[in-house]
Amino acid sequence: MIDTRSFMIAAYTVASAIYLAYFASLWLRARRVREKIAVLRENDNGRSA
Amino acid sequence: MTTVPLRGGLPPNREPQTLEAKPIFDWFFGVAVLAVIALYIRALMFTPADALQGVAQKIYYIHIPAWLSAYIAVGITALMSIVFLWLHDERADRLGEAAAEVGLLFLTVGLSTGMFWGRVIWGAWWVWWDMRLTLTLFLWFVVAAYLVLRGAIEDPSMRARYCAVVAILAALLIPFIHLSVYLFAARLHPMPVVLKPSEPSLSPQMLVTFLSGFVAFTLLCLALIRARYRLGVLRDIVAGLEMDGDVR
Repeated sequence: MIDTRSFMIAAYTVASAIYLAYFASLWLRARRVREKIAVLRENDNGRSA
Repeated sequence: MTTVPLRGGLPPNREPQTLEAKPIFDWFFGVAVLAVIALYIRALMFTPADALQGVAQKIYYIHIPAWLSAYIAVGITALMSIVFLWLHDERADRLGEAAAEVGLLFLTVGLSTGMFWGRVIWGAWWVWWDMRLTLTLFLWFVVAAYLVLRGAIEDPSMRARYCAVVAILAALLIPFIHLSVYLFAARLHPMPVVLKPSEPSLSPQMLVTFLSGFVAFTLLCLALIRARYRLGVLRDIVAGLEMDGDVR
């Protein structure tokens, strides 16, 4: 006999984990890109000076 | 191969500073997350279990809205691809890319939650001869191929044009997937209970949860597309700055 409640909880957990992982990936990628922009702007200003 | 110059008013590194300064997650994303949390609470604690399927039926409240969101996202990708092919506007291409990535996310959630429901109700994680299942897996691969193709072509205008064609082909699958339960005899999927010509065959309490799910996940889908679009703007700024550095 399948424990349907466990399957329901597993489905909700898996869905939440996928959304959270994507959220984290977006946040990390944005942080990395912002850091890169700051470095490039700094180099750009250094060359201009 | 000739390349078509991209329009968009401004070269990538001249994007308005306001867009760069904005956080990628803002109040709209917060509202969407709160709506999804509220849906989880309502579905798990305040909505009765189905008489036949038991609590496994509650998987519907996250499974079907995930599909709807995937359709919206893939639809936006196709629409933006048409706009790009017509106007050669880089913003349309960027929005199409953002929507495709979010579409793949919702397709993954739809497939994985459906497998749990299938294991309980059908006794199998996957049934190859069910046309809706097979077609949705095919759509997942086409959207994944779109994103892989984006990473494989360096020239921006060629990348945008090739990917636009793939996106339009992907969107053509959506009506077949939705109507597959009517078109093919090879099916295990149940007939629609809400999106059908006659009135929904759900109790009022379940229907409210169901419709709340549609609203919550549509909001989440749009908020994620917005966030991913802003990430695309930041990436284009990096590309522009790197190009400026190379030129000097």
